[in-house]
Amino acid sequence: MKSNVLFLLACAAILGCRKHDVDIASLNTSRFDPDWVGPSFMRIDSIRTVPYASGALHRQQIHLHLDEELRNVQDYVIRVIEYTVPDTTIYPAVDPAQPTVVILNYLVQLGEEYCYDIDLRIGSGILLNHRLSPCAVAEL
Amino acid sequence: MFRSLASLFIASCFLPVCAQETGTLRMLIDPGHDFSFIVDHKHRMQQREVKLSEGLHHFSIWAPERVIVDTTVFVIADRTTDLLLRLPFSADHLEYRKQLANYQTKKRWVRTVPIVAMAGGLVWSGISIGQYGKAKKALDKDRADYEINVDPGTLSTLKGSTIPAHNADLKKARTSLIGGLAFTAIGAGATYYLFRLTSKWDRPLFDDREKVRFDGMAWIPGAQGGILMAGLTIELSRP
Repeated sequence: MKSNVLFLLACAAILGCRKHDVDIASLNTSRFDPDWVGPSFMRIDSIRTVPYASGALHRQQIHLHLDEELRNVQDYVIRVIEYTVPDTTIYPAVDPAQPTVVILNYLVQLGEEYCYDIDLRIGSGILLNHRLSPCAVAEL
Repeated sequence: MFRSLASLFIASCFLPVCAQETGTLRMLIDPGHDFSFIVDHKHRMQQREVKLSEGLHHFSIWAPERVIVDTTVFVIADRTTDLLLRLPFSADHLEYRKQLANYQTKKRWVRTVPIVAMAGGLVWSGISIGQYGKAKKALDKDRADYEINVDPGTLSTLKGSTIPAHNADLKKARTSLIGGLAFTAIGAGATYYLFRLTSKWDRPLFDDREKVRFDGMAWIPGAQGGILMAGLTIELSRP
């Protein structure tokens, strides 16, 4: 009886060792993980077309809302690729107290559609699942 | 006539004295204790000194585990003579010692090997537990790093190579631990079984045939006219 109990305890100890393995597939709770599949750090509040230079030219303004968790990191950059020109602009980290960054495209023609790729890069890697790809027609 | 008779009487008083002059024989025998001897095929004794009449005497000397040695000694009157003798071990005893040594060596080996195996298994298990703990600690650190790190590149490296490597270390240590525990269990089982098995082995017994022969060499008369002597060895020690 005693030996059976000891045998069962030994089996339980050996089987108990398995829970110490790290299941990589289930390791996806960090929003900074490139494999993150939840909501993005960035959210587009609005895309507006506004005139400038006394109304002779127009620009598109993308109001991008950044989560507080991202703003606290401070060493991130936002890379925006505009495909019509094409043109790439890098926006550095903003003041953590300011939740919105405004992306500006100074060369838009009214009636034309403009598409953007907005990537988020932190440290040495790009956060793929935080990418946004908005398109908007330039109209007043 | 009277003078002749008186002279004869005086002479008869002295004659036996002159004929029974004795000398002392001191027995310096190896082994120094527990030896017995039979003098002139008649008198069995167990003492270190013996007074004997002058002349040639036959001795059969014996001690346990030794052979009987027959010798003759000339005892000189009024003198102490030393008999210096080493009794050799009997062939039976030498054979018994050889068998006993073989028995003890074999028993020791049969009992030691599984104990060494079990000890080896315990050491193996201990090392494996250490390695397992090390791998677990590394994985715990990896998990904590994953939670606090904000660099996607570092997180990619963590998930792509660091954690799989530490998982492999953990698996290796676990396999090693199972092996060590199994080896220990087999060693323990073998130890138990072989201890039980060897405890039933018959220990060699010494049959001192020289003693039986020596006991049969002397007949000692008792109060009822005599006794018969016989030797019997009973092994009382446990194997």
